[in-house]
Amino acid sequence: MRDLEKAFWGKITASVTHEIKNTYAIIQESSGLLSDLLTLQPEGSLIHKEKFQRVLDTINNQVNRGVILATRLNQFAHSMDEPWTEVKMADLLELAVSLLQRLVRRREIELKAATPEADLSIRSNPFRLLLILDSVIERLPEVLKPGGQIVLQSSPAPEGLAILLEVQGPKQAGWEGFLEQFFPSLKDFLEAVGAELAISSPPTPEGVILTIKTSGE
Amino acid sequence: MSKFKILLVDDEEEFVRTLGERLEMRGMGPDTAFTGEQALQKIAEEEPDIMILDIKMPGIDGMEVLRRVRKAYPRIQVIMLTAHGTDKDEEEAKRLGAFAYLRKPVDLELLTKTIRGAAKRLEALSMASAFAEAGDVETAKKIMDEAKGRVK
Repeated sequence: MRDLEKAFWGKITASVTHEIKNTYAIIQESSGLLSDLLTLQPEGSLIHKEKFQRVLDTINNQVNRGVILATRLNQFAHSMDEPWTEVKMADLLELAVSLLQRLVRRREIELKAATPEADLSIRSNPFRLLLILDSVIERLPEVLKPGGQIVLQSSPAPEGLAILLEVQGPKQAGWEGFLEQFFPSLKDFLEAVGAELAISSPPTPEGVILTIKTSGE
Repeated sequence: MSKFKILLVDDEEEFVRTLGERLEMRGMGPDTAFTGEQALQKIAEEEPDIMILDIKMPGIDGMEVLRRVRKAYPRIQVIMLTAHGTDKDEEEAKRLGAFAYLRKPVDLELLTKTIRGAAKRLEALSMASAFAEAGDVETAKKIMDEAKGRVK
């Protein structure tokens, strides 16, 4: 996608998700007001009071769910704001998990982000990093069996930092070769952010490691 | 709490109406404004103690209202409440002197707790001002430092 197209898509999506949150805010306050009014009803004066409260709780739960989804979509849209910016690894991995876990869960694989050991950040292109992570994560369920896990973890590396996409659980034979053959298709994106993909094998945890150089700009 | 005047400013009229009613049920009934211009006019007519202020509004937006209020009425404690919040907006609002920055939809408990925090800050300001006028600058400074620590 060209920069102008990305900026356009990002701007409109960010604006609409903000408006969605405004709508949720009005629904939440309206259901909250109904809940307040219910609380004020004398005991026994309203036959279906408990049912009303249950429905209001459902509305609140769904509002909270919708807000989280809108917030994530908003963050994704803002990842297109600036081609190069300071990217906090904990935020990036959390966003990647929340955006992509539905896609891998359909294949009975769990996607998680490990708690970072330190506050790691790097000047890079968050949209492209997400695209690379998505491309790799979508392939990983093909080498894992249902019940497996993908765990994302960032760590310092000699020239920048690294993101390990660890695959936990039984794997298909020859999984390393299967994944490696797909790496060249991401060549342009990797070069654009000064990154490399490699297989991580024992004694390090098994999976794929994405190394990002500090001077990728 | 009722001794403090609250002004709720947001261009979403249904939001203002419902949130206003809920605050009123908790003894924090606000006056309301639906644009930045209306808010500035109400402030000039009857200075509120605490403002709950949206950012994105037609005409004068919330950030500009905050800028003008902090310059002309520094005593007013401004709580930003917005659905359009970005980290940059939050940094800017805090740099301009907003008391707090909350995102919509907001948990009412959090909002009322923040309003109470703003009220305590105002009480501390009044007390500190009295000590300062009496020449006890050190006690005035101590009160303000404690108030800042308490509301963070």
